[in-house]
Amino acid sequence: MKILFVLIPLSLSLFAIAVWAFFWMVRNRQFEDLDSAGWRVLADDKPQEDKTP
Amino acid sequence: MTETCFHCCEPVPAGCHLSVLLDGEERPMCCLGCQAVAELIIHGGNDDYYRFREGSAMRVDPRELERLDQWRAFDHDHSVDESGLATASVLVEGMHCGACAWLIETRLGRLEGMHTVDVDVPCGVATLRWRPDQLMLSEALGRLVQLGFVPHPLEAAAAQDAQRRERNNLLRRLAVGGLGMMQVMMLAVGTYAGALRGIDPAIERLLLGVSMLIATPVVFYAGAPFLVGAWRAVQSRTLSMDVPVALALLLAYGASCLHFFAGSGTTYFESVSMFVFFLLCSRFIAMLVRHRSLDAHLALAPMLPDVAQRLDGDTVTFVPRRALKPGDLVRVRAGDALPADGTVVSGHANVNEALLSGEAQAVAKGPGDDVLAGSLSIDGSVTVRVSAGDADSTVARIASTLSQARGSRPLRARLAEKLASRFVIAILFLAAVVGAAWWQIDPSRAFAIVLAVLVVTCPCALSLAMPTALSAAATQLARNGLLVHRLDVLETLTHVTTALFDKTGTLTSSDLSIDDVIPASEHPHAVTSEQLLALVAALERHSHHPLANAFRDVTGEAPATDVRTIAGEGLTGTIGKRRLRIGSARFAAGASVSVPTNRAAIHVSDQDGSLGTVYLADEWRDDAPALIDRLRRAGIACHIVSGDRPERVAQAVQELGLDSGSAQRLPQQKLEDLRRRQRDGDVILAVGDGVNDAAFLAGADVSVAIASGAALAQAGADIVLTGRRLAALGELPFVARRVRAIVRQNLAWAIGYNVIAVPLAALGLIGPGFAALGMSLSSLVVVLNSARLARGHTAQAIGVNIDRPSVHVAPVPASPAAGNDATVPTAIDDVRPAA
Repeated sequence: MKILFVLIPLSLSLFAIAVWAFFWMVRNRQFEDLDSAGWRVLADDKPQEDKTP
Repeated sequence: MTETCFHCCEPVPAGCHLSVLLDGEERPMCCLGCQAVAELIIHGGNDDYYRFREGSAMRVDPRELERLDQWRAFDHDHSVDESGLATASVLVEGMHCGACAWLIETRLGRLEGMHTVDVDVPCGVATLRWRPDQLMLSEALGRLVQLGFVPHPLEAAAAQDAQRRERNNLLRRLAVGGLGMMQVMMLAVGTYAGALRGIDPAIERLLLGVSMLIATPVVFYAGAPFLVGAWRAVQSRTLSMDVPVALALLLAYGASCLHFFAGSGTTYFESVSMFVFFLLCSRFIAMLVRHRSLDAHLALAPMLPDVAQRLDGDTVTFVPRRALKPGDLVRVRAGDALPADGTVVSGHANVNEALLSGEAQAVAKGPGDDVLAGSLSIDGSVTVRVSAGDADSTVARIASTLSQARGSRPLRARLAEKLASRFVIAILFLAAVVGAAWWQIDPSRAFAIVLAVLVVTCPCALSLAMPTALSAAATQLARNGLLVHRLDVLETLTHVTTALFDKTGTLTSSDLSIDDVIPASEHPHAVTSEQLLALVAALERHSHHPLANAFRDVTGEAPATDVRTIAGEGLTGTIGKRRLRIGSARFAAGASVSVPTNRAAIHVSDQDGSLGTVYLADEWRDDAPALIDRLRRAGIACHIVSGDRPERVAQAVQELGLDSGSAQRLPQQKLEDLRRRQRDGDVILAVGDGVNDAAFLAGADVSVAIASGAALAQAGADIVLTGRRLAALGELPFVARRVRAIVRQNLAWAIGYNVIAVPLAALGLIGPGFAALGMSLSSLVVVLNSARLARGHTAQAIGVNIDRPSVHVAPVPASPAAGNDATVPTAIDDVRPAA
């Protein structure tokens, strides 16, 4: 069971990484617009020149 | 009339042959505006929008597409942050669903220099961030117009910023609390197993040590709102729900740390973490509900023009409405809304002040007359000297008052607060008594038992019972086009016995139809009803007045020549040998004709005298009968209270299946009717749309405003109907009953749990750890039970619509004509050219 002395601190660092990632998402406004992202997947990606001025 | 516009889903007028090609098929279009927008959407590669959108788009006014220049007024009306990005919030009228959001995001995001586009569909607000050296805001706003939306740039959105900060702040705490709770719980399972089967003391120290490490940020960062709230309550010498929560948190955390360092005694890190996380969840739900309620200022934005035409000497400058100062001269063209309060300097116009006065009849204004922001110049161009800045205009002041009124808590909530503080006193008292008793019996166990009592009585499940059920129901209702502003009305709704409806704009749509045609018999060359209609229709073909739409299906007219519009009066034209004048009684026939009030009438005459009169009426909404039927099945009596003529009201009662109706009621009388019914013990649901209904709505127990009506009526209403389907209202009593049932189940569960758990904890039969587990599970049961409300019933609510044929008022004559008698009692939206 000595391996726990490695694994548990390791999980602690994963916890730290998860919290950091979440903070990063909040800071990058990933929770601002929860509506249009879902549609982006459904829509075919047709990069096209915008012809209008 | 079978064809509807592919873009806006409105009927395509006869003789209109516009179309767009999509997927190899010609799609019909109702006007040049819609066609231009649809082409832009499809050619830009966004045709998926039409596949995925929910509901139709707004009809596009081609005039708006020609006026893209005006948005330049906003090009320098923003601040730039340190990274060189400018930010603006724009209320986007016409944005309903995820597909709209996607369309806006992709098309605006493609503009050179656009950094990010964030779209918040429930609020209808898009937040743009762009590089001002590469892109002008006017280009982005113009693009929105080209996509068929109407942008309203918002003032430096302080309120939204505050909301965003609050939400992000709570999200971060929720993440720390949630992730931490999971970690600590996982480690706790190890110690539980160790307690049963034996454990290496070194590993136990490790598990506890790491638990403490994680629980520390959970308590002091994620749990900070409770600690701070309790500290404030103590400072102001009151007792809030936060006080026992903070007490339990600090006691449990402090004792656990002491025990850890002492190397003996129980630790409660997992209880503390779970406690914090569940409390945060309920706080987050409550915040979401609070943020959803609509700001009166936001409701007002679409009613006022964003751009004003300021006269500086001889030149006209487009400026943002907010930049107007007292003393400025502004030009207002026919069809535009006034940007500010002021005095007419030159020009004449009929002005519709329905937004403020509720009086739908236009008032003639000339030099020296006072005019108000938000009123609409129907036919003339005027120059106005501004008398008050934007924030001081009459409408803005009314909106502020309404915002404050909404902000003040309703009585019921304050009562709940009082009860809560008594509950808190009871908990603390109970804990003290239990602690004192155990101190006598067994001092070593006293602490753990006091802690268990504090945790077990945590009003978590109790405090979650109502808000979770209400917000789940509100989510479900919002999906069906009903925005609930005050959640507690869902409770009142179960007691409603009577529904009162306003007629115009509520039970009727804004479309007008021909009600009655009365040819004059004394004319030397008298005409039949059909001929009379054909004559009017021929002239109205040339008119852009909203009334002209009533005649677009009339056929059989001869071509009219030399048609001219006389502003505020009517039309003149020649058909064959007749030189026709149609419009107001004064204009067409001289003032001798008596005009029935409150009814749109078009008088027709030629050179030999009066030919007759065509009366117009508004049409019933298609789904009005279905709504009445549904409400009556819920045991709610339906009455109409209208300012209209008795015959028309009688017709409503008969055709829509109402219980009764009262006609010719002034706004004040409507309120008196309502009060009288309330004195008789009725609980009233009022449905209306105009500002003239505002008093009536405010007096009701539950008020519903129609979103297409006046902004101020909506700002005061408990519930706003945002969709087009009136029938969604019919589900309200049923949803409310389900909410009541769920809340009762929740409360029974929470109280039952406390009744069983508190004595057990007080007797020392459950430890703090199991108390926290039980408390969390009981909260979870409540949340899951409430979530049942957010599911189901959608299909039923949507299906209510069209099983009955629509009820039309007109005796269905076959031809068009319309007049410029702007005497129709319609809400301001109806007169406004595609606002």
